[in-house]
Amino acid sequence: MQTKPINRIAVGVDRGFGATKYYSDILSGHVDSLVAPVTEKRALELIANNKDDNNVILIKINDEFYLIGSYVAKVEPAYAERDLRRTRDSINETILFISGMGLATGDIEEAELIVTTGLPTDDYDRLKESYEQKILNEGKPYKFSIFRGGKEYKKSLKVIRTSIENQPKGTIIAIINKKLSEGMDWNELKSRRFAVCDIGFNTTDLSIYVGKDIVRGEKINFTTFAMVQIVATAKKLIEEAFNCKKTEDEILESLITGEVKIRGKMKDCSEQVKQAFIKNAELLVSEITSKWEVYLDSFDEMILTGGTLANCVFADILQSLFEEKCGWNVTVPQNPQYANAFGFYLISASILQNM
Amino acid sequence: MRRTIQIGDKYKPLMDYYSEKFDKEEFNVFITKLLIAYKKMKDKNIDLITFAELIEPYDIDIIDLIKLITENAELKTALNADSIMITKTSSFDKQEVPEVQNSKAINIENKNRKSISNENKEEQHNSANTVADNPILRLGIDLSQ
Repeated sequence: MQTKPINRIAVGVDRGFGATKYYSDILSGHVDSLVAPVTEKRALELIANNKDDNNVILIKINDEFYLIGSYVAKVEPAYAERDLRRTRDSINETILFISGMGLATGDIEEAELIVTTGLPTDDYDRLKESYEQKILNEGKPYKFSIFRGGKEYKKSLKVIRTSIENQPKGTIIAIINKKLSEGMDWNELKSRRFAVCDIGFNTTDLSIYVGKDIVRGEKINFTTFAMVQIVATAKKLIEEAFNCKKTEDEILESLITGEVKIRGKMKDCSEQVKQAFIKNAELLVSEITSKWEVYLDSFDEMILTGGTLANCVFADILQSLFEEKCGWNVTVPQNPQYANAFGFYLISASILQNM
Repeated sequence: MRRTIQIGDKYKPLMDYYSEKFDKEEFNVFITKLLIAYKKMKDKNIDLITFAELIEPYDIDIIDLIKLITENAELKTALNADSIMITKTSSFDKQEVPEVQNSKAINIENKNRKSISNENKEEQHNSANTVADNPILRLGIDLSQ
């Protein structure tokens, strides 16, 4: 009797507070980290009404349906705010993590996965072990279905190995990979001293690495405020300027477009957005230069990464400030939003190679 | 699903005013405790810039304010008196840092990636040629360690 060959797939999942990014040999992408539980009736209605829309994603797990991603903000506004709890034991966390694995495996139904993911720097030591156990799911496969674009993708995914990393390590691995492809020597790279500032939605993680190894020590690696603070500042400035009330999602949109919809008309709020960026960029640079004062001369390279850097205006402001305040011409990956997920995928691929 | 208030994220603007005068960690602890005690914190929409603006026009020395509170208010059991000790520290002096090489932007994309045309612009099919595309995997080392 022939046995069906088992697919083994290396996957990187960056379970960000703003967006969940996934990366594999098959597919890479992201979904907004929004989850709304829906009834079966509502789920079937949404599936039927959105057969041509890949952005409408539902997941069925343990006979419960959940709508995930950006469409939540549109049709389930009560669930439109990101869950900022740093623990990794909530149902939302589980749903988004499973969805990341499911989406990364495309239309493959059954597979064994090697999954790498990250934790914010300040949470790493505290949560690493329990998060690892949770992802391994006692060796049992995750059985669920993803509904998207008029199709149902049944899944049975078993995590056979997982690696939990300090969040910015993904970027370090991605950057080392890039430098190797540009001809730099591994012996040089493995002793290169990188400072990485990973600005996400809820946390900014700052770490120092020598090659791929983190430098340990008191106050060397730390976590501070992130995009959510920029949103709060912009919200206040925009609401004051236009005498309105805006949701988190509307403000996030304004940060990208520089416009805000007021009583049906689009208004220019680029000045408020700029002020919010400048104010928080100054605080961030001030905090980093202060905490890393004694290390600033020791780095070979300073890297800015994370989903927040995908906003070019903020990235430019931050880069200019770093240069002005501490003399560093920082490196920004071309795809900062995906740098960690890609690096996590490379870590998984290296584990798979060595199994 | 409710968003949990990240107090730590909210008080940062206050550091605009005081970061040069105080040890930041001590100040962080203090202001967090202070704001927890602040009645309006029950409102999840409070923006602590409001608080900063509330006290900023007054000629308040933050140490005097702390003193006022500690001398006149009763401590709740959850409030640790040790955590509101504030020590002065020198401000960060601008430091001359030599500029390193002019770093180029890094492209992390796989060479063989191609876009698929759907509204989720960010989703892409990837190459299965993992090792050939990624020189770090040719090192043959376990990157997790």
